[in-house]
Amino acid sequence: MRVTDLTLGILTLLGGIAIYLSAMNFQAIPGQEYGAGTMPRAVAFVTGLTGLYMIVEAIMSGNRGIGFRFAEWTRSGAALARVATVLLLILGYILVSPIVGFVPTTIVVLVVAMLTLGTRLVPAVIVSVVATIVIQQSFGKLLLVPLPRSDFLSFLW
Amino acid sequence: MKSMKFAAALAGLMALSGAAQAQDFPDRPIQLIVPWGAGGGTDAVGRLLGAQIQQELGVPVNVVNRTGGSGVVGHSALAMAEPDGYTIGIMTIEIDMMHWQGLTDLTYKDFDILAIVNSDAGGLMVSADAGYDGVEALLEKIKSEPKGTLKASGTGQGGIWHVGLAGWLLSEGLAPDQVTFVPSQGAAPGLTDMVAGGVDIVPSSLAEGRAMIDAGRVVPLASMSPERQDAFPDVPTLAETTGSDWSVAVWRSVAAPAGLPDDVKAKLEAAIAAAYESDEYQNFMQDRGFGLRWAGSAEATEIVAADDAVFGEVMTKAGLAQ
Amino acid sequence: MTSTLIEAAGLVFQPYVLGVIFCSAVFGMFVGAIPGLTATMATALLVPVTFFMDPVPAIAAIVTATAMAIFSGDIPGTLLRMPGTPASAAYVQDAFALTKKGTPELALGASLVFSSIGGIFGTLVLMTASPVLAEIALKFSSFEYFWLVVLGLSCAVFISPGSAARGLIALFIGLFAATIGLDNPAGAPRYTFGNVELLGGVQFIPAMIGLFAVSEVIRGFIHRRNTAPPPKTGNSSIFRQQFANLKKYPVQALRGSVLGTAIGALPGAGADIAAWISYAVSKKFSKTPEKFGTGHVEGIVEAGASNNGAMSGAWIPALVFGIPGDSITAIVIGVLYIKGLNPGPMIFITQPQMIYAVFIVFLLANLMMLPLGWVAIKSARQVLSIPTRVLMPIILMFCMVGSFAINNSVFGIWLMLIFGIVGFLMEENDIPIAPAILGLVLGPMLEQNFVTSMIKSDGSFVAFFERPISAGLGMFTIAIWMIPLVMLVVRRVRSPKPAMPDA
Repeated sequence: MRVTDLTLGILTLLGGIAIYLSAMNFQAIPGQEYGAGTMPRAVAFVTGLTGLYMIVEAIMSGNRGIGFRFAEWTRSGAALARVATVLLLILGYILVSPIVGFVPTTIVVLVVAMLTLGTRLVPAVIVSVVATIVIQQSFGKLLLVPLPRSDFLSFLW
Repeated sequence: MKSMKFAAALAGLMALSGAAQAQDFPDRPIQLIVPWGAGGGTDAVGRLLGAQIQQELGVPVNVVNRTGGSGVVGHSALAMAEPDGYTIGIMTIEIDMMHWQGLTDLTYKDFDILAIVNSDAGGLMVSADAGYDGVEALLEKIKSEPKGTLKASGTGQGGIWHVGLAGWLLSEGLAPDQVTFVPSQGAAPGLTDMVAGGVDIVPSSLAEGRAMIDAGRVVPLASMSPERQDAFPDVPTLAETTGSDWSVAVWRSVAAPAGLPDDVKAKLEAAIAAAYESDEYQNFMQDRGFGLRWAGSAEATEIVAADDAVFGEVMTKAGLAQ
Repeated sequence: MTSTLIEAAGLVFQPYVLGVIFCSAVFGMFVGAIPGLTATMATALLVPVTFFMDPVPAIAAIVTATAMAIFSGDIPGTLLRMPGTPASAAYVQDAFALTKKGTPELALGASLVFSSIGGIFGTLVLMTASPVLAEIALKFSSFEYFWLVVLGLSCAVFISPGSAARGLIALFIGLFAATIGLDNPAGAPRYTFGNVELLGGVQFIPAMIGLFAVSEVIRGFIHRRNTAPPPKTGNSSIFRQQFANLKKYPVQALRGSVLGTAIGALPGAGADIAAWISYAVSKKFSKTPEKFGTGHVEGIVEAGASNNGAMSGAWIPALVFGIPGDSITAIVIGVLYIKGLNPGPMIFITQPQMIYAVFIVFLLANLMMLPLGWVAIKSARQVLSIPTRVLMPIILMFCMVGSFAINNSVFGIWLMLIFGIVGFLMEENDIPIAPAILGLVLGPMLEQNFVTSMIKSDGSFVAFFERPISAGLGMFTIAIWMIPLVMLVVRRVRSPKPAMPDA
């Protein structure tokens, strides 16, 4: 999704205004003029200026179109489906791994991701299992990262 | 979906059998949450203590850093864990301040405090270039100059040394903001800034300023403790000099989520006591210049509760409480 | 002096110490090469192990592991566009472009050799000039740091490819993200919506993984290009081209080493900022600035030397005054205390052999980097022979585990996902990512130093120019801002004729 220069300028200006408004409630440090609101307001101010500059520049150079156009790939339903898959896989890992544990979740995520990209089933499963064990051993055992573990399947590590 | 149900059923089963298994505690690794970053003092204390507890209990003790939000993130994670003894953590003094600031509803009451394992009294340090010959001279200067002329630093806004400074000023009959407090990321940046001429006073623990004191760049004027500190026998207390009875000390404690079974709690407390007594821990603390202080569960809870009340009062007067 | 040196060498050249050095070198290589695990984390993980060692091997382990990790952070940066450490992010664009051209050896060889050169240079400075330099750095207060941060941010916008406005947008995205959370001078929660995890703010590592790596993974899933991996230029040596580079860019190598060491010696400014500033300096003074970002070695030479120089430089204030130059030396100071070696001027008098032993370890580590780095590069190249359809899912998994590991919480993965989408949309709109990263890293420092400076000066802006060093840095920064404006004016004046830069 690519927006036009004018749209980007307008979005930037609106973003600056939004940050400024949201920073209104941040208090200064007691007895000081400066505090929690200083930085967001400063960022908002320069963001707004940049937005204005982009708007002016776009209008001056004749790029007055507003809106966005979809990139070439979005016309392919399969590509869209693959993007949806990868985002859902990440989401799924976040939600499921604390319940089911690291090893099973990871194997499923890897196998599905590989199949989505066109790997054949058998190599996908083999590589996924090996990769999972390697990651589990290196992070979980060597680096002592407390990877999510469930009480069943704990015989794996 | 099916597997979720399966997992839930299994978890229920585990919970049921958990009570019966308490005498077998511990039979799997224990997680020790440190609410501050890897490499800091609290992290070092947590890791060393964890290694000793591991020897005592015979199961791995994994140290997990949960940082951010001035300690709120880590303390919340600890409080919200299962009170089964398999999640313990280092609880720091911030627990007695963060709720007064309105950052969280969490208080010490949400934890079973197992022990206090370290305590360091606050002090008053100035730059060697400033030329104060004693804390009386500093106090005179604070009184004679207009409000806000002198600046102090050494912790974040509303942090322990900010409260310690405000408490001292109040005890001397001054306004808590007679000295302007400049927030910093900790004692070390505060000290660096003081040596560079950015601020005038750092009211942090003397242990934190030891390297700079040894280097002759920082002068410790007073200790904010009832008695002189062992590591700094030449530094007088406030009572000896200005006559103020104010004292403040940071402590580090080991705590678990509230609701620990009694036998698990007793076992953990004994393990922590043994870890505290170990040569490794004792030597480490002395080498780092950290104050050794032991308080068992009951006494530790009293100390934490008393500090909570005192800080609440000072922070309200200083306008730091919400 | 000579006897001290011999005594120090005796402490280092023992089978046990050398074994520790070798193992920690391999460990550092491994950790640094995994995106999401930083050199700082390598150090933190080593500390419990060093509890059981004598002082010299303990320090040796940390020195070696960090030096290796800083270099090996370049490996995933070059091959996969996932900088393994923040210090590698400055030139990841160039390094990855070289990989796309099929010559990753050129990028990796340059970063290896010049990392080593920068590291050795930094060590020599550390040995000779540490007391003097630290004395200067110790004069820095929040006013000076404020200018230093502004300088770093300005550089980030100037080095970004494309229009300055888009670079600024990226910078503001980073600066805004940096305001989230509780860790600001006022200690007030901002944009947390009552969420405890958000109080901790946007952690840098998951955000960086998201912006750089996950956006790349998403693209990989879209295009599903199973293009053959970049052709192996198998027989091209990693080292041979580097002599040519050294001949071609001696000034750059030296400038990077000097600047990196100097920046590293400043308390609080570490390898990350050094790499960014050096990359910008390199582009500014280059004869061919337009080639930067397209797979040009010049910036890698300078910034690669710079970040390893900073690694050594950071030890100067740490050893002389016990003030950490960066997060790694902060950990090291802790270890030194445990070992009864209290850093400070006294240690140079009471135990000089220890200090010299540390220096020798530094030299060893930077020399050993060459053969070990060669092995690491050779084996890392195998990664390229794995087809994308297998590699992308595994990268995704590493991203998630790395994001999790930084604070042991799935919140890191949420951040990674959000910033992955943001990064993807940014690139779709030609908004560069690097300034956003720098905004995120330097935002908190900018705010801290600005707000505390204003408190100290009772609200007077003049204070930023009252202290001599601060005034100097401030004028230098403003002068840098003026350069594009002056250029604009010059171009306007000459305007009737089509501007034809003859340089």
